[in-house]
Amino acid sequence: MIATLKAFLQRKSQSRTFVALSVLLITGLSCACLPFLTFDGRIDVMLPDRSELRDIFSFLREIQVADKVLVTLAMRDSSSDPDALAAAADRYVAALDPALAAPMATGFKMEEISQDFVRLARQLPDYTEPADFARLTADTSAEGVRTSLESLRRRVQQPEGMFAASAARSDPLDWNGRTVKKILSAVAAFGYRAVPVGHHLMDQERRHLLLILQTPVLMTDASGVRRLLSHLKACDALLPPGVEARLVCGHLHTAGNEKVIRRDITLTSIAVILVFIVLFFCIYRDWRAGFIVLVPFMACVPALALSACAFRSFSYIVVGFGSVIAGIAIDYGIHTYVACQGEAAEQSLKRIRRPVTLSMLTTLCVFVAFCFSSMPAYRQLGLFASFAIIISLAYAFWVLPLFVKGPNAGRMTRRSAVVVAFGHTRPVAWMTVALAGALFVTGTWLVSRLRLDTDVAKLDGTPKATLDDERRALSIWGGRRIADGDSFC
Amino acid sequence: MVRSLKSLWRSSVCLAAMICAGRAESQGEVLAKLESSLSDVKTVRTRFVQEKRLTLFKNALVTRGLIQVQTPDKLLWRVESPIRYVLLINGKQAKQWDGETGKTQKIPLADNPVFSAVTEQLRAWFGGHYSALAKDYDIRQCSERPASFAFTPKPETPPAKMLKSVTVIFREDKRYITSIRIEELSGDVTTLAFESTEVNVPLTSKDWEIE
Repeated sequence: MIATLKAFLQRKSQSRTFVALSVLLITGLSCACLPFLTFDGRIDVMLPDRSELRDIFSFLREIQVADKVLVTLAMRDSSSDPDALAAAADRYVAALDPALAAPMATGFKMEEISQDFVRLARQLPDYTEPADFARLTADTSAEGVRTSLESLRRRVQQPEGMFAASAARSDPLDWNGRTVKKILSAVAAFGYRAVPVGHHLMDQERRHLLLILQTPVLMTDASGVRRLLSHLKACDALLPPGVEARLVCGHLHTAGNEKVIRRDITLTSIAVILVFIVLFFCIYRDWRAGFIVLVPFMACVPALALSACAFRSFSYIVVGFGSVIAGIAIDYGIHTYVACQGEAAEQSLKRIRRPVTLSMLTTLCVFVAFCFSSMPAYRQLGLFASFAIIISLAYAFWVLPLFVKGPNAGRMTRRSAVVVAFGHTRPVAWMTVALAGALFVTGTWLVSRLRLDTDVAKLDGTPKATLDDERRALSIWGGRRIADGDSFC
Repeated sequence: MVRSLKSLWRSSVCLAAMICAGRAESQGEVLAKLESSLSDVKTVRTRFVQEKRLTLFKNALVTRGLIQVQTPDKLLWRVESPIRYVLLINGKQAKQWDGETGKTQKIPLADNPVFSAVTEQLRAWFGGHYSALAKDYDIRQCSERPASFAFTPKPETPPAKMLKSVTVIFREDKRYITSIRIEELSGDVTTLAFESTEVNVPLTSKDWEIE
């Protein structure tokens, strides 16, 4: 039975159709898996686990800021028209799909104020600090009670106390009032400049209106982010022509990074394919040399699917390194192609298998070592590259020969001038050694002058327009700096 | 006999319907009467005596002072004794002057929703904007002479959480109020009596100075 299967596979492995269909099937299945895997554009994957900087990134992502979208509405002509802005905001909010974004209550209801004070009184222990207990002791002394009641008497004699004598009685020592002052001071310390106008937040000059939306879409959910931003764009289109909306949210960073990485991957892939094809066609003058280029790219797809399965979320940045892997893994195809060109292709192929496999194993060692790094991005890269080069080697040994075997009609029959110039002569060898030595010394000198830049923000591909909108929002609504960068959090 | 009973029943139903219609009409008429009698009042200057009977204090708290109103949205409340304090509401701006500290504080009402709500109430009660109160209160005329009206907070409205009722008594000519009595749910009672009231008296900018 096993012998029969082995014979069948040996026979089929020599069939171009069978092998080509198998490779296409593997690639197709891998592509089908990709939409079910999670990819993200987070840059903190470049930071070590359990590092302080990583903790800061995690904190910023997990606090209840990451699920907020700030929408600043303003008149296009920079005029002040609070009524028009409020009407536009109401229209914008009415168009929102609650499954994607819902407005947060920014105003307050008069009828809830008394209940708010009751709730505040219940939370009082949370806002009380040791100094307050000393104050409480002083307040509850005979003198303290007299002072408090005197103050209360003054308050109820003022017109503002006309309808609220009972409220004052419920808190004669004015602890709620002090707590409110404390909370207001804490809020003011953040430097925000939004003021409630009706049931909206506006700036002092009433030129801008701030809508705070809460979204269930995670910043790391690339497809959700696309849906959310597209929906907000549709809501934006419903605004009156004189009103514009600008967004500030982490989701724009995700979308920006994803766009940049996708563009880079596409560009580098096309560039690499074109360069390789031109290079191979110029050197080998054989259309079949194009198959060499396909080997690493066809291998990257199942490698990506396999490695992404091993992680909860896979970084787009690591996917972007795919072209680097192509550069490494293409060597196996070149060796195979050259071995297949002679009369004794099978013999040549057998002869190169051991050294090429050894070469692959040395490269693999480096990437396997990456799998144990403390940086998630290195671990992802290590696994992705390991799978990619193993599959590339398998394709190079068992798939490529079927398509490139046989003498090449257009193959170089004479040695080019370059090959002659770098022929196996002693002067040329010495010259090569001297050149390598000079390059080594120059490289060492340059490395000694190298300064490592630890600014991970440079990995951020957020578009300039998004950053400009954040700066504008910061200047309108205020806020304090977090770490070394401006932050609207 | 049966016919007489039926006739009596029909008459009773008609009478009840007329009474109901009459009550509904009087509710609307109340507001109309109030506002029409105040419609030509542009300015008011009156002295007041406020007496607060609070369960927290043994003795009543008596405050004396002056109130000035100018349509549409100007109100000055000057407390002269036992404390010295002035509140001036002018459009979207409020100013407080505290006689104890001698300091004046400006409060943009748009930036302070709580204070804005309080001043809105003061403006409504003392400026005669009773239609603004109709959404939160059931208004009932208690007596014709002197004209007195009871404002009872509608259930589930914000005033219903604090107030039991507000009774407003008008002058004979109904051009301003002679007293307001505020009963809170807690039993606290505030009474404001107005004296030496002058209607449509010219008020100069000096009259609106708060210090």
